[in-house]
Amino acid sequence: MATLQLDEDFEEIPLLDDTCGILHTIRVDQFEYGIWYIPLSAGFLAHKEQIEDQLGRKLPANCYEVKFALKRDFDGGVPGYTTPGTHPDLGCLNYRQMMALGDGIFRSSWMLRRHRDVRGFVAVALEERPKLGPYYGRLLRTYREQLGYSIYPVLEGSGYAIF
Amino acid sequence: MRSSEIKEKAHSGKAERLNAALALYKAAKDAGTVRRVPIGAQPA
Repeated sequence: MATLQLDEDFEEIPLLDDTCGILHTIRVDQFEYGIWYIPLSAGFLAHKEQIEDQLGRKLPANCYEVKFALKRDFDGGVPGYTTPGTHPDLGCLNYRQMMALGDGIFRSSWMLRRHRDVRGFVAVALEERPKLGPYYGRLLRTYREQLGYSIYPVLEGSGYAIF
Repeated sequence: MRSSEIKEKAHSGKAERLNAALALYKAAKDAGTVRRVPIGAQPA
């Protein structure tokens, strides 16, 4: 069984235009991940207009894009993200750890909702990581009843709008 | 990397988008502008 731990504080990162990104650190066994929340109002989501076209409506205000990466990648900054399997001290996540990571992302999003006026989320898989789309889909099906939001698949299944 | 460059990279649909997030965090950390907020506390 995988052990999940969530930090009891967020890190607020000032962005452009007076907005803040939020980083929440969680751990699944030896894997430390940063869950990154960035308000859509910061203008970083390239697919925003495309998603709104597909939805036929505007995304709500106070909507956040969600991403996650190994915390050591956040600490290291550029050149870029890595996967756990490339680190000899980590190795790849097994199925239980993948599901625990999903549980952590879900719990983290609830903590953010208690902390901020959050009206929805957008999660989009990177083009290089197409399996993330189905992973998000599986998580959303698992937690659908607890979300309290409607789930809209967008971008041909590579992303989800949740509000 | 300047914030405008980071934002431009963030607009890519590719890994640069995530890498831009990493760069933003690192830049803020280096600048000492990251603020820890206990969950349950009111945001600034």
